[in-house]
Amino acid sequence: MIIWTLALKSLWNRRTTAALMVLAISISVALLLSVQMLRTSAKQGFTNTISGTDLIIGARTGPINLLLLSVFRIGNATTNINWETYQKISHHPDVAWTIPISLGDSHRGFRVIGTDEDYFRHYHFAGDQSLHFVAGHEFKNLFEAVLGADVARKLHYKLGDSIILAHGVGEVSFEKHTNHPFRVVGILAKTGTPVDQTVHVGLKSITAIHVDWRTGTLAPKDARTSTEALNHMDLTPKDLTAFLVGMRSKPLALRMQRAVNVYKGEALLAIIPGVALNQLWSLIGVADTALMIVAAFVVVASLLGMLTSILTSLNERRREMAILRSVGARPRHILALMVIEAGLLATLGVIFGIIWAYLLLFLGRPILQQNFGVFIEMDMPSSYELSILALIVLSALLIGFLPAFRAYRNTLSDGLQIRV
Amino acid sequence: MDAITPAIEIERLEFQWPGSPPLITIDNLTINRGERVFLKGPSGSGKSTLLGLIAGIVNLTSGSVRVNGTAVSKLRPSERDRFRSDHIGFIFQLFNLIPYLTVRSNVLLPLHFSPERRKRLDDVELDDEVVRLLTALGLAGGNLLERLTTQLSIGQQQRVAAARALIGRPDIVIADEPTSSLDADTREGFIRLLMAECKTLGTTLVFVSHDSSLETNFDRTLSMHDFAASDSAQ
Repeated sequence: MIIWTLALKSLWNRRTTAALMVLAISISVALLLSVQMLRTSAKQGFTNTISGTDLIIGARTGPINLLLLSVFRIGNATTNINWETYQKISHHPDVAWTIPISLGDSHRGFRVIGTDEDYFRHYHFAGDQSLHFVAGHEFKNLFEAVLGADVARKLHYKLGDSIILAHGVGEVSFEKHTNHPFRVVGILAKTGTPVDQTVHVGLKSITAIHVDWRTGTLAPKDARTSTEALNHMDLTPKDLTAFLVGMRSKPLALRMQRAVNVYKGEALLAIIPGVALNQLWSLIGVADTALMIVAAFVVVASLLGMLTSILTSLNERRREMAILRSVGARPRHILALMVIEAGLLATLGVIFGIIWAYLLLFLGRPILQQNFGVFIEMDMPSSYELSILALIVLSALLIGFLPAFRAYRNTLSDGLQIRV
Repeated sequence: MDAITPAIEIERLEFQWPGSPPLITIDNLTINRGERVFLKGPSGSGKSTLLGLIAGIVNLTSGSVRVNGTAVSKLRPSERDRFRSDHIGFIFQLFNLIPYLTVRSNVLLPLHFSPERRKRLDDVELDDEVVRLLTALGLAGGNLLERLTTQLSIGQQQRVAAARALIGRPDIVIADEPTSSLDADTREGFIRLLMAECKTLGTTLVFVSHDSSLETNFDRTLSMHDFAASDSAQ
């Protein structure tokens, strides 16, 4: 007990140095913990992006490219799928439902997706969560739009607002579908997925806004089709970017995937979302692992800093150790004193590190969510994270043995000759 | 331990530092229980080394040192540590108090490392014993106990160091030039009170100093000149 008291009082006596050591450890622990929490949340958010979908089918390309395009709305399709092919597959007896996806337009930097009502019925994320409206309803007529949560929040849209879609996917577009403005009829609840950053319109609306486009340019004003006329036209699309498929039972997905990949009618690719997500994560995982390694090295550096500091202070403290020896402390007491001090510094560092990390995440969460769409859960540290923290304290205790052993040896030789 | 066993017995002791000529040679030296001995000698004559040999801190080259009948040099290091903390109290020239502990904690410190010294005080309140010792050594004042030793004067610190050496009634107190940083008046007063307290407790005192004027306070004077090895004496 006296050793604990001595350790605490000795640390308090050197509180400036001790506070700096605790600060250094806490910053590194906060960094490590934040990185760990970020990657856990990022991975969770990543894998939660889509669920319940058995296959994604698009024109033949790489699996990751198709995944990025259809789920994350990143990149462009090199070619599309024929509407007839889509019809054929969607009416296959093994197929329970399909969600068509037509990409190519945008609104103020947000991707526009042409789809149908099945999107709101069958798209699932984060396990079995489905889409919900916070306002309005799904589109039913031409030129109606449903906004993702982030689109509505960032652009301050509400139901009934009019929006103009742009041809192409650039943030700034000079070619806009000004002749056919869309009316906001629904706003979706936050999902933490790319859905939040998407403008949803009907497939027929996509066809309709492109009726007057010929070879990439809009027809002159007097030659354009009126909205009234469009309502009576057959606006069935000729092609699609991709479509999501739900099978009647999971095992059927593999059979369908094989069939689609060898389909003679056109070059198609069917991917299983979970498999493609894993492939994509393994690519991102390299950077993720690198980040974790850097954070781990920061912790190692701070622990070595603590070791250096303790070793440096050791000479100044030889007198203190020798006094303790002269009043009866055994070498093991000196050893315990040094190890306890190192352990206390590391434990305090870890505790403050946890506080910094949560404070950092609390303050940074809205920024990350707003700018990168990454939603960070403020959960208690996981058992993995706790084991990392315990490992840091354990390492500090082991590191503490080095100066402790030196002090042990010094005090033996110093003995009573403590005019050091 | 019986009453007639000497406190310290040294026989045919020889000591030299590795690679150096012999420093100390003692054929026979006995210090009796309760005796107060003054040890003098010039710097470098081996006074502190002799104290180290008695306390079992320094290993002798040959011969034997017995403290309370126990051959200290034959004990294993851990046993020697234990023996030292149970039977010997130290007072140093620079007092060597722990700066971040209060007066009370500094005085009580040896009891935490020596259950035997703690046991000797079973019949008294520890705080009472601290106050009694400090008062006996001329340091009165109740509020002093909770002050850090760095807030005390040199003379006060020396008294705290003496109280720390005497707490738990050790058989022997070794004082290594404890008065060298005190002025003449304080020194005289301190010696008088220390001697009185050692007498009260029956403690053997080995007191090292350059100051020969203090000799008269002691039962006996030992000179390091008498223990100088013939080689080094020449």
